[in-house]
Amino acid sequence: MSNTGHPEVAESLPPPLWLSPKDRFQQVIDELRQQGYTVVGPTISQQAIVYDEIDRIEQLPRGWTDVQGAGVYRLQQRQDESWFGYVVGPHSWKKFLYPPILRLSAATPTASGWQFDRLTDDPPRYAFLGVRSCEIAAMEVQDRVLMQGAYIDDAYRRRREEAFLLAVNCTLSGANCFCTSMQTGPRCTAGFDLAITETPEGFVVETGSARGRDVVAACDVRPATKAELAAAAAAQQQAVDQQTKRLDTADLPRLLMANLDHPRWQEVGNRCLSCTNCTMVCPTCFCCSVEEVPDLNSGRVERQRKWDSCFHEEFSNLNGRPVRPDIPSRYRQWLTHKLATWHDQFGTSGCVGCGRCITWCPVGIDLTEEVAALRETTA
Amino acid sequence: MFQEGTPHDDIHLIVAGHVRLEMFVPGRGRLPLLTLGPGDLVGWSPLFPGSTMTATAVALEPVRTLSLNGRGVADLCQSDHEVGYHVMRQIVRVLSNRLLATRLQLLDLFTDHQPSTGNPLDSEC
Amino acid sequence: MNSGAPPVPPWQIHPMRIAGIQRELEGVATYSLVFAGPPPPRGYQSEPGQFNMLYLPGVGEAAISLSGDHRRTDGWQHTIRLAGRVTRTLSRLDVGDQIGVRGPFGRGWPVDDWRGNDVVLVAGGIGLAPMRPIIYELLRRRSEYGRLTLIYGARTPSTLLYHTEYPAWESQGLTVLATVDRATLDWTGHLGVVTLLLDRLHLPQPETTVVAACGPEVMMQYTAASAAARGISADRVWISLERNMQCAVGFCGHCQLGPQFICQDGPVLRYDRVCSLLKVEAL
Repeated sequence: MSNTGHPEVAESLPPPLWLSPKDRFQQVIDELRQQGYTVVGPTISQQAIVYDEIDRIEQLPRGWTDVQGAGVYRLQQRQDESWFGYVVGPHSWKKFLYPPILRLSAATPTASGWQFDRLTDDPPRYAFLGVRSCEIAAMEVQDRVLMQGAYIDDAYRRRREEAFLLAVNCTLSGANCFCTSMQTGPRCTAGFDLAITETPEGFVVETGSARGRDVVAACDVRPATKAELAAAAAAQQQAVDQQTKRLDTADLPRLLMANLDHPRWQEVGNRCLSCTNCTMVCPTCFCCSVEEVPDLNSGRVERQRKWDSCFHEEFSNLNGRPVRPDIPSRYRQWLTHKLATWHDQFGTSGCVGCGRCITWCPVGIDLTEEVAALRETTA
Repeated sequence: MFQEGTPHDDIHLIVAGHVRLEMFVPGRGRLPLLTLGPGDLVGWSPLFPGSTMTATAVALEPVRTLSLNGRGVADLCQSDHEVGYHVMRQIVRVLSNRLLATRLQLLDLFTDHQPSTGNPLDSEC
Repeated sequence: MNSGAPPVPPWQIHPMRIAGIQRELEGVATYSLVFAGPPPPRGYQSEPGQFNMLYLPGVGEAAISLSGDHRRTDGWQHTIRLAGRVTRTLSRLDVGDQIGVRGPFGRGWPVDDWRGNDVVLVAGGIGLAPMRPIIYELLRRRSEYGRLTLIYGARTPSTLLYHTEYPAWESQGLTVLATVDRATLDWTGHLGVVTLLLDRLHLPQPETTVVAACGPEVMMQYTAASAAARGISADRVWISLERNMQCAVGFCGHCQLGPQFICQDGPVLRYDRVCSLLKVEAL
């Protein structure tokens, strides 16, 4: 995993570096690919900034920004040529670390009965380009779920330990960002191999691990000057200053769990379509189901793990009937898990303040508003 | 001990042994309802003179009860409301427990109340 | 888990053979399973109250509690009631047929902690199956426990599970009080819900009495209420809960009740830890 935190490594990490002109960033991508990483980064597809395999800086959404609101997402051209002048889109790195479909095992019929085999996959070594601070936090949240419990998700662990994180410090905030409330950003402080801050003239590059050092050493960099560092700091401050959305987290778990019969759940449940968008775009949601995938020719049956959602009506089925038969109870499950019971289970909040659930909700439900409404109308 | 539909003089508290309550349904015969045992109140209708028993009570084995004359208790409650309040309060508690138990029996909790299993989305318990 | 043994690899499926099928009641049978290949290092080790995921390729998995003596080293027993697709397909299999098994999973009954106490077991319907391992263990260590009572409720006299074993249990020191919801006149046993029997049960020392309950959720809640009314506090009552189980290892999220993953924190849970959650509708 990136950022080993070993003292001897920390001492041998370079001070903040300067990469300019910006086109030299191609060297970073090339070096990563040279070292065997599959580079995945932001690129425009179907009118959104998504994460996909890239190998050229031309594929980055340079000069674009995302305008987001409750149930609103559209791309807009910027006045400047900023390379990373947007926040987060519908994809999260969960797509690669906790794949939507994962083959678990196979059962093959033989003369003496079923033969059961584990299926291990051979995922590429990913280099994630453009990881935001909230996304590092989201990975650390999922680390607790999938690697620090009684059972370990091996597929996640392998991908996570191999993944190179090239983080980007946000220089703006979106309308739905509330990482400052969740203390997950906007600045990347740890958990990355490299972290870059964009200024008009170039990139300040911070090194967070030996792996990061080894990549940046192959590029045309030099130590950053005080002026360059000041420009980077000013750019990072923009993200803080622009953030308007807030989530009041004071005593939040107790507030939610003490109000499970509050009429607000019915009210928001009447708006919610139970469409599962929020759980799909949320970088920490991990619910999944296991499905049988038979091959009709050979009789071999595979078991596949697939993303699931607590909003599906049959998600809570017990003896054929759902425990949560209506949308208000399912919305309550999602929100109380994310903001309350996650603390009991994993020691942190499940929310990192990325705002995706607000952007991608077709009816514009905003969990910060729901929490505020609950606070206002309870003792 | 007493017959459904007939008047009976006493209310009984079981000290030892078991009693079964039964009701008669034409076409189905005598149907058992409930078994009562030590500590249970059997019969409350005698507290309301003029009423008849709502079930038949049958001793399943030798049974010993503490029996109180229904009219006597009713008269006492009427003349001394303090005593009456406490007696009625106890009886309400007994009857509410009996009602809860009856409801639980009615809910038929041990039957598999499942929808049709033709639904491919059915999942196991 | 009680044993402190390292956890089972979560997705590892063991081929097992059906070594015996004992028909218990209409639609209920106990399957004896043995490993088809070399047994895993843990062998048949399990704790009372744990469950396995029984796997039929192409159909799916079902979470079924172990219902036999957990100290047996010659196989696993599961008492299965026909419920959904997996159990119905399983009911069409024969002795010698093979299935896959993952497990055992879950937190079981803290039988060791109950030593020195009077123990009241309250079971309803198929809920007696996950409790039978407790009965075997308590009777094996009879002198370590006080008064042992089983209150068991079923729908009708013909659905009293394991009734052929009651005389043996009685002779070994377990008082068996069976009751049914419905009966015909020829039934001379008890008629009425289990809570009535618990209300009437002589409890000489409530403060050193524990109650374990397994059955429909409504039954378990009223059992806990009856226990409380008799002076047995919620931290001396244990229940076994059921929820939709898919992964059985706390990853898929299906089995959650509030903060509890029923597959990992349960299925056996101390009542005081879940009583407020159980009172919320559709949680």
